[in-house]
Amino acid sequence: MDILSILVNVAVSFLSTFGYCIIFNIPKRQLVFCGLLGIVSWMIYYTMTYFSLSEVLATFAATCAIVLLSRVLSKLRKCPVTIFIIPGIIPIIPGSLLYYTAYNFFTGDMDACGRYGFLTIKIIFAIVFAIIVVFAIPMKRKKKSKT
Amino acid sequence: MENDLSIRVIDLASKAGRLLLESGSDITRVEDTISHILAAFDIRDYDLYTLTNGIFLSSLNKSKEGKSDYTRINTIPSQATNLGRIDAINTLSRDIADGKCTIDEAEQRLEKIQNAPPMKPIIRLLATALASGAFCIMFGGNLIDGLVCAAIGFLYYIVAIRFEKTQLSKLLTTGVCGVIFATLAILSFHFGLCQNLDKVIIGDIMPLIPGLSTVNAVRDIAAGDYLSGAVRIIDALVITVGIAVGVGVSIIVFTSLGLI
Repeated sequence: MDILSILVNVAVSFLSTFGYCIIFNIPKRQLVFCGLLGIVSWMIYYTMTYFSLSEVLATFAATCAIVLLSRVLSKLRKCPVTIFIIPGIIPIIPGSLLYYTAYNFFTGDMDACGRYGFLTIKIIFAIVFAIIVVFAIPMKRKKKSKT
Repeated sequence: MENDLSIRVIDLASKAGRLLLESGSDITRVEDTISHILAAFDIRDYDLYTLTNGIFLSSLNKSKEGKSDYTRINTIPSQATNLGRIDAINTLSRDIADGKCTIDEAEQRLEKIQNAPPMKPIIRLLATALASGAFCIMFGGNLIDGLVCAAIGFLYYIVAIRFEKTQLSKLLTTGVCGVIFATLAILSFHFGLCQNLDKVIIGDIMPLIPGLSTVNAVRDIAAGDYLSGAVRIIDALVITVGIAVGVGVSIIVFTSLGLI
């Protein structure tokens, strides 16, 4: 992992998340934070898979980090938590695996199709469990000042 | 007079809920928002049931003249993701709950949120181009692949935006989008514009991926709203299958034509 590829990955993960946020009309003042979340999730995933840890584990770790950060940010920036989770998760959603599954399905390589298909399903389950687990962690709620 | 106010509050709350659902919110947030608004105006005796495409809100009003019922049913036939609107309504409901807002102000602000002009299509197209190009490089394409991918993203999203206004099945619309960008990618690969066909197609798949439906499905199911969660899962599956079929069909056609 050289410094150039790290820089390129940071840049493109920021830009892709940023663009995705604009498509879904995320408020302007949150855009930079969303981009930063994209960097966090992609760099966790990228580093863990680079050191040959499994994709499923990497996805789980990245999603946990994202959901945790999103919850903190949504408290700090007084904003629905969904606004931060969606852009944070989008780099690690298995779009590439979906393509390889479909490609091998349609070109008739059923072995590869099954392999990619099951990996896709496993990764989606990793995302699902990470979201559920981190949302189950209780967080202190700020008491509303009664006026 | 008392009765009149409670009707206005219920109208306001159910309208806020409807706008939230239309913009792609999860069920818990809709129910929280409605109950916060009702509680702020001291309406306690009500029942609320929310689905992905409907809100049922009914309240019982007791006064000296007797009991009176007031019920609002909202159907939400179609949804278009607009996270900015969710944020705006969230801020509004926070202000109402803190007592910073009278009913008149709240109605005006909600009206303003509803009539906020939609984003200019050109900005969305440029954003799609940016996102798909960056995704392409992120998944291992080189700079030229990224540029080709961005151009294709810009072109096919014109069609995707057109489709949003129609009532066609999502299976069909995403399938057609898949055919369009896969065809463009295969043609540019054939004429030597890009080197990694798979990376270009992946980059263009990403903006269509149903990320919001997936996250909402998980959150609805985790919160116990199984029915709404199942609807979201089906929504995400339909879109995914649409993309896969669209891309797959073009790959089959162009493979048999010998272009790949």
